Amino acid sequence: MNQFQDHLQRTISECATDIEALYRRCLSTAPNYGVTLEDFTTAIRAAVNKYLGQSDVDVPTAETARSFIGELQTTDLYLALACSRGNEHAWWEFDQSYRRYIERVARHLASADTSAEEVIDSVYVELYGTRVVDGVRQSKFATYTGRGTLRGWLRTVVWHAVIDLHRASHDEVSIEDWSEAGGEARARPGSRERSREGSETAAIDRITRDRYAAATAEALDESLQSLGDHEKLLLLYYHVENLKLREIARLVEVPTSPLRRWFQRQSKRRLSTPESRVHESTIMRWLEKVYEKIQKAFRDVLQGRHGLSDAEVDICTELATGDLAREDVRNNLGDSGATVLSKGRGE
Amino acid sequence: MARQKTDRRAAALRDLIRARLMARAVIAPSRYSGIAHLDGDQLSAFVEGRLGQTESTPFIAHLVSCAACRRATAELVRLQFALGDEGQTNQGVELEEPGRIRRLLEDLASRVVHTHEEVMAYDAPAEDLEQENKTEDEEEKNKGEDEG
Repeated sequence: MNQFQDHLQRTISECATDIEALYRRCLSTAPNYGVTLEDFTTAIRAAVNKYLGQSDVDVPTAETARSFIGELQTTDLYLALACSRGNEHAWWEFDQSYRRYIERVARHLASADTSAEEVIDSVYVELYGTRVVDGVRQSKFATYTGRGTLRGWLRTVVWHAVIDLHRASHDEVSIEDWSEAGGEARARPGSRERSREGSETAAIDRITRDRYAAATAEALDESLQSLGDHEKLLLLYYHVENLKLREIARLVEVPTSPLRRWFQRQSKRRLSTPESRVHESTIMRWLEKVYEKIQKAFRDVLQGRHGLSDAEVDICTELATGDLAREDVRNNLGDSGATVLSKGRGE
Repeated sequence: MARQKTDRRAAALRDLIRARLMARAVIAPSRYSGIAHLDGDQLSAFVEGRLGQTESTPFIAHLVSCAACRRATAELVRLQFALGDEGQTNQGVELEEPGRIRRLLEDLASRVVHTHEEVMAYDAPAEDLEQENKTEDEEEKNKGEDEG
């Protein structure tokens, strides 16, 4: 165990009283689940390790760990632990509380080649676990840490199950196939159509155009690169994943949402009213600010480094937009390995 | 006139940004995220907005550079949005048929891959089954009394 882990374990040990109090509370609600304090503590330890135990950040203080543990959905975690052990009382409670929701998600996601019943059966089998490693049945419940709600976690499990079943009936799932009809499925232009005219004028035009395009692409990439990661992610959600403003607003709806906190750090008014609702217009404002930053950086590069005038910068923008719009997007995505939907590790 | 020009420039730049991002699909993050891919637990915690700032920093960096994980979060956001009415779990759950869970667990246990290892399929009877057994015992007793 390295020094970081050693320190982290000591920090968690300092929270033993808090963990025991949470355990007692869960136990009093469901005394027949068969979850011991040791099981519960081990699960909390695993959650702290997973979310706070990243070696490139400082070791969390006992206060941070205590606050993290306090935010965990411990009732959900307690139920999941009991279900992972196959406790019948817990399964009864789980089935009563969540079966309808699982069915609803499955029905929503079911398609022509994947029936909702098939999905539900597959989810229950995965939750229970049919593989045995070193004498321990590998229940999916054991991967739940309580960081999010059990309901949200189940939604992800059902979503993954649908992809797995879809994959089983096809060789691979392409994003275009799988995504909802939103922006992703729209027809995209074919390969780049460059001018093929052989005349000298056309050749000069092409060279000039290419030089402008190269300078523009370089300036744009540099401008994008200068943004913070939260700003880059907002742009990617909006422009590449085609999330609607209201969907992004939903993503940052919770006052503790990490993206929301990044953007609100810049707004004193928002910081004073952190509970206020995020509307679509707020997201648009965030985007406007990001565009302004890009525009400034973009002009700075083109004018400062390449000595272009305002009018030339406008020409660059127009030429590059036209050229990029004709790019074969799928080829580029293929290069980055982004077209194939891959699941997270250990899923 | 100047305003129109500024608006046109801004609109052109937006088109350019969109086209460039569509062509690239990923941007290099400002910092190395240190994580391979987000698993189901991390994906749902992120989508629900549960992560703290320190925790979320490597996640956001990863999502900027990993199109697959980002697309997964986007799909989950759409799903969450489409399903709506968060927080309603027990709505309209009908009364359980006694013993259903035991039968379900027995069915699931029968699908466990056979090994030489011993596996505990379930470890406690549920009230519904106890209730069912109790009812059966009472019926048996009443039957005996009637016959007697």
